[in-house]
This record gives sequence, structure tokens and C-alpha cells, in this order.
Amino acid sequence: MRKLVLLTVVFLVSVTLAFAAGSREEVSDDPMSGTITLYTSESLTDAQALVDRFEQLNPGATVEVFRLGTTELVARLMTEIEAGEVGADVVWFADMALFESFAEDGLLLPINPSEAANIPEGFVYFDGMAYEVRLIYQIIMYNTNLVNREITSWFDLADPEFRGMVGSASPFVSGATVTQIASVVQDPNLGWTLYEQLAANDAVISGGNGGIAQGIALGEYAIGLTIDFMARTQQEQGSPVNYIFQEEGAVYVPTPAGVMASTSNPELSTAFVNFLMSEPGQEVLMDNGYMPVNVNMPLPEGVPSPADIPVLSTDWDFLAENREMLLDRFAEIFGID
Amino acid sequence: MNPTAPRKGCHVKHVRFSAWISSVAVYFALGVLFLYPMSRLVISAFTREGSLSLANFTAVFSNPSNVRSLWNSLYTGVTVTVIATVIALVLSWIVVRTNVYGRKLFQFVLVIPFFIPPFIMAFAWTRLLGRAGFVNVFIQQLFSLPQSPIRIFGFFGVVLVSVIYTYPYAFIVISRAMENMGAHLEEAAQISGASRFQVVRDIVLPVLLPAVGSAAVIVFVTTVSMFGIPAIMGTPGQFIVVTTRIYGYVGGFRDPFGMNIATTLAMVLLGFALVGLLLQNFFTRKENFATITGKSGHLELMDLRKWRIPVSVAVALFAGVVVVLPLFAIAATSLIRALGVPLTLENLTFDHFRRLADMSIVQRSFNNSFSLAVFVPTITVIGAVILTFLKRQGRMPGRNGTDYIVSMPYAVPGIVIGVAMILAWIRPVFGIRVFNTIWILYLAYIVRFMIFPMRTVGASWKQLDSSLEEAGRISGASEVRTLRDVSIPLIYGGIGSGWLLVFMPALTELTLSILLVSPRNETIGVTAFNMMQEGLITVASAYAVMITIVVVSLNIAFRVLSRRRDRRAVNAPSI
Repeated sequence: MRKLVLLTVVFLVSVTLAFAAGSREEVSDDPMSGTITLYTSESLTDAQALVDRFEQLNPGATVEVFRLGTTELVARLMTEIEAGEVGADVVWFADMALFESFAEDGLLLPINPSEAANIPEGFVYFDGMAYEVRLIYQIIMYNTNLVNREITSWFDLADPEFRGMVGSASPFVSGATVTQIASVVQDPNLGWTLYEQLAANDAVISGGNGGIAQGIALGEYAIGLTIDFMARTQQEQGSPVNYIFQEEGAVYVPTPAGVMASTSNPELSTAFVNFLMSEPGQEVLMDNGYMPVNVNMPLPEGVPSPADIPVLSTDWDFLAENREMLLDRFAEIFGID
Repeated sequence: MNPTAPRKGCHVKHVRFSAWISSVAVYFALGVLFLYPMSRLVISAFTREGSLSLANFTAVFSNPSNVRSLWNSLYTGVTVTVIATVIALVLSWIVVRTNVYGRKLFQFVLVIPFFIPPFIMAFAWTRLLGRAGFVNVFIQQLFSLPQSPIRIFGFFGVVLVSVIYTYPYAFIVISRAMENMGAHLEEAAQISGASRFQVVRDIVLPVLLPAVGSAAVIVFVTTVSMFGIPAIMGTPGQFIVVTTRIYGYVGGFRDPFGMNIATTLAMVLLGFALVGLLLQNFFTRKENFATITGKSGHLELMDLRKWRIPVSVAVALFAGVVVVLPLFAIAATSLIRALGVPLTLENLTFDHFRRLADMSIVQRSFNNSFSLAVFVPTITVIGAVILTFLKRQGRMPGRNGTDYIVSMPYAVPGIVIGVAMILAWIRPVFGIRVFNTIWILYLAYIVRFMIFPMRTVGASWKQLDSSLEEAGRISGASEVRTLRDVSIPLIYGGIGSGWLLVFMPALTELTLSILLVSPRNETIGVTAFNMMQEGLITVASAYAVMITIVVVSLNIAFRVLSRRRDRRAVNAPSI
């Protein structure tokens, strides 16, 4: 019996010790080695390609990728901030309004990456607390086997010819769609009426932009809203798809990258953000279909210069103040829970 | 069983003291693992900002989306239960009681959907019946329709895949009952002049009712507790059930009281499951009466005569549709070069597998899930042996209460345990940080799965006559030595099957883990699910194929191993 008690006590103690050990952070002397964690809404495969290249250039550095849709990622981050246990060192996701509030609350570290000199001024946010590392737009993509006519406008999505075959990412997953709603409803040519017409056309609101792009390639949807680089990637792989920038304006989706003030390795985290803007990082991004932000990089073939792309304007304060109203009304129009 | 009388007078005080110590230790462990998280859940549901309130229940029931999700869960649960039970009844009868071809093979093949993780099953069906699924496109081309005809996302999709995932449970339970029923009762009735219909109504149904009833309850509780299937088949069609709604509140919506509302929904879901459990107790009580008939020596097979071939073909087709077709769909998707290109030989590639193998998250999630799948069963089996030993030894105060605590999570859906764990461990407790580490997964899995080894170890220990242990003690061995050299070797069967019962679900667990994973601590299930959610269709298919191969081959390996052990057990002296 005594042995059994002893055994139980030893068991409990060892479990406790194991917990304590698990919660300790490794600290290394070399600033460019060690492990950082990236929280991103970027596609998992693309993020992995970037991390692989970064680790190749910086032996000794490890970047762990934690990937979720923007909305889920933000919920996760908020929970962690509240719990006082932020797991992220670098953050990179499509929620400009939240980045703004992070910057105001001092949750982001002001950094000074050398590559910032090579990106246009407008893409350095909040006095150097966050940076745009490539340009993405929410555009209209369509399956060329299923769509035979010319597509130019947002209202092509409301064409009864495509009834039930129109797809768009859900604002409950995609930060880009939240940006889209805030921009569309304030645009004099579009407004809520666009969404009412889309709902009447049985548009499917589901998941993230990646799923919509793949669905259009598969022919699950004839046409839909998704991100430009996804359309280019699918096209390059040989899928029967094409895309256009809407004549009323595509949605420009800022996707800032920054370093959390709570990071235990600011050097490596800053180096990673710097890498994203540098030529090797931009090359990886371009390989995956993105438009570069570094002025020294050429544009991908067949892509117009950003200055020539019509975009809707987005009022971030309007979005920050009305987020719940916007989502509620959108959900109500499309009958999504 | 009741050696409360002290063996040696001089040790009385010492024995009592150590018994109290172990009681404190055991209840401390159970309290930390089980009672503390569950109490946080109840507190969160009934409070708002620290004060007692029913505001959460008002919020739940005044929001049409929440009410709809509750209704959807109930409605789906009942529909799936009816369909799965009927399918299981028919299949059991054909496979057990008729001379259909390939009976032994069918008995194995028909339970395969039960091994395959449900979220993979659901994903595979999206590749068959989704808008561009293979079946849908095939029908479209066959009749040259302008659009693919089948719309699967929503209620029908959830029901379809849930039925396929749950009918094997019911099939296993009901076919065992049919094997035990024997034919003599029916023959007796027929000899006495009863018609075939009367035999079915008065003999077969009443005898089978307990098994069918408890199978139906298991199907119902499983269905309303499931997360992966409704998340993949329901959510894209705006069909939200309670589990996916809870996930939305915890993982997505920005509601200031989201956590309180999630816990309140969890309480209601818990209510559904508890009602189911009460029903099951009712049915299994009756089952004792039914098994009095015992296992009949002979089992007369009904001759299907001219129906023998059609029935065999029908069962084979059914197995083909529920087993082969979905596996074909994910295998084909994992090999296709690009989406939307036709499925021809030159369009096939292993690229997606290569990409998968290079992803650090894939390697990491395999490591994490295998560690969980090995250590959690080991810890729970050790715990079960200690608890059963203390109970059997009969000295520890409160020894009979442990069973109730450990059985509690049996009725608690995984997502509810997940929410309870977040509430309990989100802040460090006594300086120990659990949230955002892999340990929260260990805690949750232990709570979830402890019941399995408790049942199997308890059952095989019960069959062990205490005279064997007494013999050990009389020969001068200490209690611990007797435990090690006598009891444990004799209950290896219960230990082994308890271990396996935990290993398999722990390896591909999703429902608990989806709320509890953190960076670096991802599991196989969550990684695959997130790939599916992100729309990485080809890579996710490759991952699903990999997981399925691992799971099915492990299952076959364990089957072969345990069969070998069974044979040895038959040769061993009966206990």
C-alpha cells in the first residue's frame, strides 16, 4: 500500500514537472537563431514556401506557421491577449481595422526593416508598426467552360444565367470579404442593393477565398469573388479559369505584417518581416501568383500596373465602428448563420 | 470482496492513514481533471460578469439562429437514428440469419466506415456529391444537363454521411444480439402454428428490442455530438447545428458574451445527450432479461433461394457505395494534377504527396497525434488499474464514487469538454500554464477517454475470482506484488482492449482538439480539417489518403494481433 501511495505521488509530481517544463521558453544568445511563430491567414502552402526560403537563408532559425481564416485567427488572438499568453511573434492577416487598433493599444512593435526603403510610402502603416508585403485584390473569377460571355461588372454576378452557381467567401471566415462589404455598401454605384440581387440569384456564401477559387476551377461555381493571385495560380496550373478586375473597382485588400510587442525574439521576427519585403521573399510570393510590393521587382506577366487597377475606396474607421452591423445585415440578406 | 476487517491488529492505524492519503490523492486528481473544468462550464452558463443570471439562456433562446441550430441538431439526430437503425437491422438480419454469399467478408467490410475518421468520410462525400463531385458530374454528362443535379450541402449531406458513419455501431450491436438469439424460439412458435408475421411481431421484435433500442440511443448521442460532419457537410449549405454553432461562438464571432452563450448552448446539448443516456439505461436494463435466452447452439440460416444472388449483389453494392466509392474519390483527387482537368492517366501526379511530405506542420501533427495516441491510453489504463484496485481492495474512503466521476464525460459531447477545458485552463493555475501548450490536449483526452479502460479493466477484473489474489497474499506476497504478479497478468485482455479503444479515436480526434490546439501543438485531425476548410482540396485529399492508409492498416494489424492473443487465451486455464 505504501508503495502504491508513493507511486501515485511520484506520478502526480512528474506530471506537474512535465507541465512546468513544457511551459518554459527556450532562450538563445544568437539573435538570428531560435524559433518564432507566425500567425497568418495566408494560404498554408504559400506560407510554408516563404518559411522554407527564410530558413534556408537563415540557418538556425525556425518559423512555425499557425494558419486560420482571418476571422478565426483574430478570435484566437483576442483570446490569447485576454489570457495574457500571446503565442504570436509575427502577425500577418487581412484585417486592417484590427491592426489599427493593435497599433493604438501598443500591441505592435515599431520596427525599422531595411527593405522598407524599397516599398512605396503608402504601404508603411502606423509609423512603421506594420508593412504591406504584396498586393492582393478581391476580383471576379470564372470558369471558362461554364461562362461564355464577357464579364466586366459586379452585377454580372447577379445574372440569372449563373443562378445558384455564384460563390463568395463568408465574412465569418474571410477578412477580405469583410473589407469588401465595408467598401461595397459605401460605393454609390453598388451599395446593399448589389447584395440583395446576389441573394436573389442564390449566391453561395461559404468558407474562405481559397475554397471559392478551387470551387470555380472545379466547376462547383461558374463565377465568384476571390483573390487575384489564386486565379493566376489556378490558371498557371492548367485549370479552365480566368479573372477580371471589376470596372466599378476591385477590392484592394491590405494584409499588413507586423511584429507583436510581446515577442521574445524581436530581432528574428523583424528579420522575417524584412525578408517578406526583400527580393528573395518577393520572388517566392511572385512564384505563387502574388503582385510584388518591392519597387525593384518586375510585375508578373499580363498583370496591369497597380496604378491602373480600379479599386473601391475603403473607410477603415467606418468598418471599425460598424463591423457588427455590417456583418449582421449581410448575414440577414443571405440567410447565413 | 470485503476485507475491511484488519488482518493484523498492530497495523490498523497505519492502514487507515494510507487509505485516507490515497483517497485524497485520487479525489484531488479527479477533481482537477474532471470536476473543476465541468464546474467552470456550469458557472459560465449561469453567470454574467460574475453575478448569477439567466441572461445567457434568454440570449440563446431569443436568437433565432441559436434556436434553429438546436432544432437542427435534434431533427438531424432523430432522422439519422431512424435511418441508421433500420439499415443496421436489415443488414444484420441478412448477414446473420440468411445464407447470403460472403457472410464473413460482409461482417468485416460493412463496419469499415466506422474506422475511417468522420471528417475524412464527409470530405470524401463532398468529392462525390459536391457540385463538381464525380457522381454529380457523371450524371450531368450522362443526361447532358446544364448544371450538376445534386445539391448535397445542408441537411441531406449531414444525414447521409452521419448515417454512413453511425450505422456500423448499430450493426455491431444488433447483429451480436441476433447471433445470441438462436432460432429455437421462432421454430417453437412456428411449430405451434404461428404465421411468419406473428413470429416477427411476437417473438423476434420483443427479443431484439433492447439491442435495437440501445443501438439507436448510441447513434442519436453520437450524431448530436458530432462536429466534423456537420462542419463539412452542413455549414457550406448554411445548415448549422449546435456543435458548429458553439465552434462559431468560441472560434469566430465577436460577441462580448460569446463564451457564456457557447457554454449555455453546451449545457443544452448536454441535456440532449443525458436524455439519451437515461433512455439507454432503460433499454440495457431490459437487455438482461433478453439474454436469459442465452446463446443458441445452432443458428438455422434462412434459405433465400432465388433471392440469394440479388440480395448478395445488393449488399455488395451497398458496401461498394459506402466504402469503396468515397475512398476512390479522395484517392483520385489526391492524384489529379490540377482541379477541373479530366481524370485521365496523363493528368495524374504524386506532386501533392510530395508537397505534403515537405510541410513541417504535417510532420509535426503526426508527431503530436502519435504521442497523444500512445501516452493517453497508457495513462488512462494505469489510472483505471489504480482506481479499480483501490475499489476492489475495499479500504479507501469514497472508493465507489470514482466510477461516477469518470463516467460523467461519456455523456458529454466532445465540443462541450473542449469549452470546459478552455474555461478551466485559459489562465495559469497556481503558476502552471496549460493553455497554448500540448498539455491541455492531454488533459482533455484523458478526461474524454478514461471511461473506456475503466469499463474494460473493471469488467475483466470482475471475472477474476478473489481467491487467486488471496492465494498470493497467503503465500506472503505484498499487495503491490500480488497486483503485479497475479492480478495484472490475468486482466491483460481488459488492459489491451481498453488501450486500443483509446488509441484509435485519440489518433484522429477532431471535435475536442479543434478548440484546444495551439501553434506547434496541432493534431492530425485539426490539420487535415483546416486544410479542407482553407480549400486546399488536392493537398487535403493527399493528407486524407495518408491518414486513411495509416488508420486502416493499424486496425488490421491490431485485429490480427488480438486474434492471436484470443487463441492463446483459449488455451490458458479459464479464470
